[in-house]
Amino acid sequence: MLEHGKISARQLFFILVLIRFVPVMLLCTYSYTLKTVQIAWLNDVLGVALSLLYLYLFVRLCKGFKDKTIIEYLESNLGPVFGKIIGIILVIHFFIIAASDARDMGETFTTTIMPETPIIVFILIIVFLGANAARNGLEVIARISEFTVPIILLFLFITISLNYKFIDVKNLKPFYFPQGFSELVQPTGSILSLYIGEFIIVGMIFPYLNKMQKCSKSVILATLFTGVLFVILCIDMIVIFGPTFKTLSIPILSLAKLIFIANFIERIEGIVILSWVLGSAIKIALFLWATAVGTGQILKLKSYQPLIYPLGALATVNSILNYERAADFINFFTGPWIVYSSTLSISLLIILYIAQALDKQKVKS
Amino acid sequence: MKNINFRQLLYLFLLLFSILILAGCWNRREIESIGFINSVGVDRNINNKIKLTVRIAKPFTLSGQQNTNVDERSFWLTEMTGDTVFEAVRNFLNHSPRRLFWAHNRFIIFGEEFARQGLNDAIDWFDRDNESRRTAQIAIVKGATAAESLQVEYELERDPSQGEAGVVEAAINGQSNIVDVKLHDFLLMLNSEGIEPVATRTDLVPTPQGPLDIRGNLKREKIGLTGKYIGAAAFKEDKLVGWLDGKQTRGLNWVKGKAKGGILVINNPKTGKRLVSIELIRSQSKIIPKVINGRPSIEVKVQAEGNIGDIQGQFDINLKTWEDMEKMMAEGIKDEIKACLRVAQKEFNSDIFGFGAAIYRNYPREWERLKNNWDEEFPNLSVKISVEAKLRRTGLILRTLQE
Repeated sequence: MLEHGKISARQLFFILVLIRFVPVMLLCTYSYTLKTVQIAWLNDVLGVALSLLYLYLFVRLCKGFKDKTIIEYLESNLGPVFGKIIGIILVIHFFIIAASDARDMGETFTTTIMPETPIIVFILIIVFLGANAARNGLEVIARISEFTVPIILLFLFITISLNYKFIDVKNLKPFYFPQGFSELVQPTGSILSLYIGEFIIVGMIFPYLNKMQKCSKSVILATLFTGVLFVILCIDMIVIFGPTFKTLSIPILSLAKLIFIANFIERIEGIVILSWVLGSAIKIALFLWATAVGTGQILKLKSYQPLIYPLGALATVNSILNYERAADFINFFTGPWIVYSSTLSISLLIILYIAQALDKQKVKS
Repeated sequence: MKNINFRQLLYLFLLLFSILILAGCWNRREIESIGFINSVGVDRNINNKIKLTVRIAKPFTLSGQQNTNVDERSFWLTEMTGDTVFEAVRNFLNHSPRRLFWAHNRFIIFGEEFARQGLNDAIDWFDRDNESRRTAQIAIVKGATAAESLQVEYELERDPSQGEAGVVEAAINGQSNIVDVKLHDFLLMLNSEGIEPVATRTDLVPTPQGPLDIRGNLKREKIGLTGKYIGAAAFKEDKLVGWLDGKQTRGLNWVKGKAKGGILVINNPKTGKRLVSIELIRSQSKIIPKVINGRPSIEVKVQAEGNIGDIQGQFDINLKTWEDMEKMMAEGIKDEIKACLRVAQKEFNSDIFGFGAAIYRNYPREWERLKNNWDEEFPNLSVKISVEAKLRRTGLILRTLQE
């Protein structure tokens, strides 16, 4: 085994909550997909419900892995060639997430607080930080996220609750679809694709859980928990920003900038910036770790640590070269990513079913 | 020397490298090198360029040390032009020793002429820029340019922006005859269906320079120009269409449910000539839209609460006079709403109340049809107003002393 650490089901819950929160706090591609603002919360509900269905099936299949990661499992059941091809696709998927997350974080920093600083500075620092955490293994990542998530949630709670003055519940009406139900597709797809595309990482973490039977519980709980929070957050955005919600590039920051209480509690967006750094560094660490472990298992290496820094360097380069401008990033995550990620996740589910069937046959014979 | 291995050397280099990162970044801004903007005025000059006038705080005049020169102005007023707002903002850097900092801006003031041509040319930057905030107040100067209005001073405050903010806050809570419109509110009204924006209105009050000033201190001259906040500026889309006075503005606030306080003067129920003033405490409102056979109509329900504040020619308060006063109070409120409704419908033809928005929220499909000819529909819209007024307390006097 490449990774020797063991994490608890509770730590898995915190990891999942964290990786799902990062894209919401940073440059938010979700608001670009919105057409009618007042029904935006419905997309969250639909997206989370569909993700729950997917993740329930996915985690049930994970139980067949026993002490293997998804990559080892596929290889042992589908044969070295086909299994390796799918393994490589998965590793590239994790790598893309790590790189685009670094880009997202850099893009957010350059649009908001430091417009003149080259984006590579932020990406280098955050990837270096993430790579160092990833080198120390899953246990370290799990422990950092365990104490980071409550801090981020506290900041989020402060940001949401201190804006009560601007709330206008009337903004939630009317509940109707000017362009028919088709306008729900893109935003719901955006939420769904982020959930299922990123939660595939459970397949990598699964064998390192100390109580594997609790895995599905924490995945479902994490999905429900983030889902409920997103619906609350989305409703908060609608009642505060009304029709201008869909024009905001970083809604959470705009929300924090509005806080103005008694000429005293104001200008507290620093806490949002702090959560960006904390959240994205850990998310990058996790996905770099998954990329390295996956690569190590495909190539049958003895340790994955030497891969981390080169992969980090590659992620930095990838994040710079893949997107020339912020518009490229937004275009990718509002269109191609949705199709790509959902296709990948759903075909993975089918492939896992086939692999499980083959596995059972093997056991019988 | 032998004990130092490669790993330790690497750490040493990392530590040294971190000095480069920790020392700062490209966008570091020391507090001594930035000029804090308090207010900004937006006009057009004769060449149709955008002219920005900014009031920059002079921090050294505001420090609490004893030997500071109290006669020195606490701000620097300067102006710059440019084709766009952002160009003008950058053009300041050619003559301002400090880089402008926008996060503390409290007022965005527009001249009347600029507002009549439309705010859309100027408003985007204030929402897009990363320093600027949506909590800045949007104010329109009546009959003057924004540059002139930035020359006002207030007797009680050294910093005029502080004075302006004080007046606005006091008038919102104590009078309700101005509207509290921040950039955030303005953008919301501008982008929402079926509602036209309003903005805070400000007037300039020149104070005549008398021969003798007995109020101020010996050295300081009297303030020449001061500001007044009353009423509101009514828009149609992003263009200014007219002004509301104090009474009409409170009418607007009644409909929007934003009236928080103020004095309403009614006739004395016993002797018609003398007056009673009622202190308004709080209000609630509800706009109920109806669309019957494609014809829209609106019902406005207002609930208001007040206390008796002042009675000319005291009289015995009994249940009958109490109810009479409540009725007159309701009439007075209705009057204010009608005054506002009349100008909005007949003069401005601008739906500043958000009646269209109410229809949109309750009858979205009907609104799809109505919104195209809302301009013809709105002036003839039938609006039913019902006011429920409650008098709560009488102050420290319960009944009369004379009569």
